[in-house]
Amino acid sequence: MSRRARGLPIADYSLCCALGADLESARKRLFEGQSGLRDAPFALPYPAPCGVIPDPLPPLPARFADYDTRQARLALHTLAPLLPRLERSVRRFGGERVAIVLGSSNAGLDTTERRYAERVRAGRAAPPFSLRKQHDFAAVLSLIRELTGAAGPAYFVSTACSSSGKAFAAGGRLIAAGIADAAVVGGVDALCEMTVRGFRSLGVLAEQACRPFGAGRTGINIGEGAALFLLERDADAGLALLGTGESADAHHMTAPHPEGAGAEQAMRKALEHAGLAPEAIGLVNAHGTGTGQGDSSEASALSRLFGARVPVVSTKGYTGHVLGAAGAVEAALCLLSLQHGRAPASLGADPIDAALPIAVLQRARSFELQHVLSNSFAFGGSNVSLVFGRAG
Amino acid sequence: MSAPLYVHAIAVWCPEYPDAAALSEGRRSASAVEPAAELLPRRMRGRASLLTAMLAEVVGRAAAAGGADLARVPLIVGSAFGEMDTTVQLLQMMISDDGALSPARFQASVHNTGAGQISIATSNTAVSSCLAAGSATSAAALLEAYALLAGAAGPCDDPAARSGGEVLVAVADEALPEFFADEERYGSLAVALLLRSRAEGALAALSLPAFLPAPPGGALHGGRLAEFASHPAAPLLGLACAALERSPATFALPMAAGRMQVELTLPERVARP
Repeated sequence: MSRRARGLPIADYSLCCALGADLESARKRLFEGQSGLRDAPFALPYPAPCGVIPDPLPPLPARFADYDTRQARLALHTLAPLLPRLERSVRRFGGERVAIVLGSSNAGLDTTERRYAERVRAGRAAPPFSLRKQHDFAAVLSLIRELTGAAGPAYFVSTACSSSGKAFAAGGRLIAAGIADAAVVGGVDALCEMTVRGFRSLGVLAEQACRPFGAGRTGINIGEGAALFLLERDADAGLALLGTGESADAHHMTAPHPEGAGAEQAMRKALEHAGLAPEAIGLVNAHGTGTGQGDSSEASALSRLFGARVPVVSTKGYTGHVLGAAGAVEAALCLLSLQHGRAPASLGADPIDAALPIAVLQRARSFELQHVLSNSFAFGGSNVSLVFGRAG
Repeated sequence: MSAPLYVHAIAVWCPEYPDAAALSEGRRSASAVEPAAELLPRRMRGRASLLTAMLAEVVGRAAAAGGADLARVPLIVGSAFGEMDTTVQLLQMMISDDGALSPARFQASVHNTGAGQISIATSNTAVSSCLAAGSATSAAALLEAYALLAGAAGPCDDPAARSGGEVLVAVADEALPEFFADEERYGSLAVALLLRSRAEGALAALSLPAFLPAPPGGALHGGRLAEFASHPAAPLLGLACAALERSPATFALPMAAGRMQVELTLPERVARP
């Protein structure tokens, strides 16, 4: 019998993605089965549905005008609902004991790519651009510190699509090592034209809505989003991070290990840290991007761990693949499932690829959920798996 | 007192100095060199960016000098800006012709390209990570290594890393391409430290972390050589040179709004907790 581990309490969390610019909007659309995919917001010579945030993002406070990027706007908009709880944490522990560890692939690239084109066209007459305040990963960290007083260690993990999943592990380690008592963890990635064109060049960008685990699936859609979480030692919270597992495929820069060996290793480590047997998992949030090879590889690993018993969902049909922030955005969707006892349908899976030996959820289902496992696998063979559950 | 980390090996690479000793003593090469990056297979090496090649060079050298098994040792890579040269190539492609990108360049543009290629070349499936924190990148990489080795059992522990008792930390950044060089100019530099939990055979001991408010002004760290003063790897370079010279010192690494104080001592002088 599995024991229920206490884990690291999640005192609060927030979300902004293609499903909605706030947690409640996202929850509503998720459980109604509404996709957040829409046309790409820039000119492309091919169709490319993208997960675009549906509402305009508020501008930065005037004193931060030099830092203006979509990435920064997204980060601060997502931070806003967390501020009251985060301020309590800073008062309780002191600012230097509250760390910030986030994940991102793109940093300020959304602005960099525009400014580069403008500089080539207009030379020094182009609008100003700052490496440190706009392109740099660290820019968002300084804004968060300024707004919240969280003055502990602060850094980004950038390991492509596993970035924000690994940020949970890194933030948790800082708390376990006694360096911090609380940590803001999560991920931020604004939509960039370079990534859409880049995945197109690799032949894995779908021209229709993506179909993770579906028969005849053709690839991924790119999305944008952010999700932030406050991990806090000894907090009285209903949800917790129970386990994390990280590994490397050591196989290929873009193709996963064909049998999902690294993915399996990450999942087993996460379960071990959570003190849970695979039977204790009620729902798996798959990485499930909609590529032929990626989905097959992950399904192979999932079947060895869970057979066809545990329902598997990919939420990328709702949000697109949010790259470095995918782990965090999907963690928020996992927490919504835990809190509301409802698993969304794996959008786009129907008809299922019959060759995949897993139980992909094709209809939303309400049932009591205790533990959810969430995967993120990345370029370079970087793998991370997270286990969330009810605390206590 | 927290348990110290022990520096068992160091490696440094930049175009003007062939190794750490040369850099520490200020012996500049007559001509710039390329990193040999021998741990990468020839085909991979031929396609690698300077950043990836620099990382492979210092990781390979530090592992060899310290007797670490490259197939097992966890690797923490810090880079403030990552694959910038490749990024500029892609930005140029986006505004040229039909804007199509090179798949080879795109897949090599991710921040963890170097770490990924090293893990493939060495068949290393251990935990690894890539961090970015601007001027705090060196401190962040050291903290990540410290937490990995020191972490108590719990949801985020990696028992294999902790029980293995060693981790390779490498921080590297290329000289910034011209488009980005208005605010910052520095040469390419990579630094690696092999860190272990045990003292036997160590060059130096590092006691960390203590977080302090920023000083009123002046240099924040014991960086070596003025030309690297603003380089993200400069704090690690200072530690590496001091370890090589067996020269105890207190370093103040930029971190968050202040600095992270790191005491470098000789291992035989470390007080027991």
